[in-house]
Amino acid sequence: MNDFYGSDKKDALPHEWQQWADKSGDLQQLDENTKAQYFGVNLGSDHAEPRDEVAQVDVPQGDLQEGMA
Amino acid sequence: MASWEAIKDTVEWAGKLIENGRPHASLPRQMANAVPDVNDWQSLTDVKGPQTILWSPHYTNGFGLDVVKFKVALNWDFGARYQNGGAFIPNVWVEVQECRVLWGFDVDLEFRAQRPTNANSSGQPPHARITCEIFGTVSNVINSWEVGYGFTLFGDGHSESRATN
Repeated sequence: MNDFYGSDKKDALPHEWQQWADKSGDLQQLDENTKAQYFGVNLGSDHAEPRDEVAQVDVPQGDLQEGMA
Repeated sequence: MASWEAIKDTVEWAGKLIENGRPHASLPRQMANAVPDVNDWQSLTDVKGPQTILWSPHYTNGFGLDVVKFKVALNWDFGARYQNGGAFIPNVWVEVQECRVLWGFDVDLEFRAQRPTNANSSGQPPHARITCEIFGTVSNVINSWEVGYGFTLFGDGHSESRATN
């Protein structure tokens, strides 16, 4: 069991990856290619977008004019 | 000196949204706001919203696995009037809607908001503006990547956003 990485996270992996994770408890035992592919990541989509936008409003003067200096 | 022309915050929460790969158990329902600098700011009317922006980055490894994937919703109420005028933001809050972190990876994500300002010039009705940032790191034992997104929210309901890393 490799608690260093968190066994609960490992449980979220597909079965074959759980087996791989069990075998790779010692990171030094991993071959470099496997290590590079598993831990090397690319950032996928990274954009923010509005959801179900509510209509914008204006900015009225209202009754505030009375209080202006 | 207090004035409805000035804009203040009455809440200024900064903290962890995701820590050690797990969402914060109970995030507050109010993290920031932008209201008139008067004692009776709670008498705001005509609140609209919430407006929501979704930010959902994901990281994919060499095997095609999405090793890190999270979805954060930034929400704000807007259009609030003081004495029937202006456009204020009475509430800003964040929800972590999804957080998937596979074995060997970690995520830490924080939220912070800057002091609110008035987007209008003097003599015009106040238009609240507040800038927030969600930022942090995605990491494993080999590497670490900074991640972040900035959001400027306006009292009329529009927004501007951009990646910060």
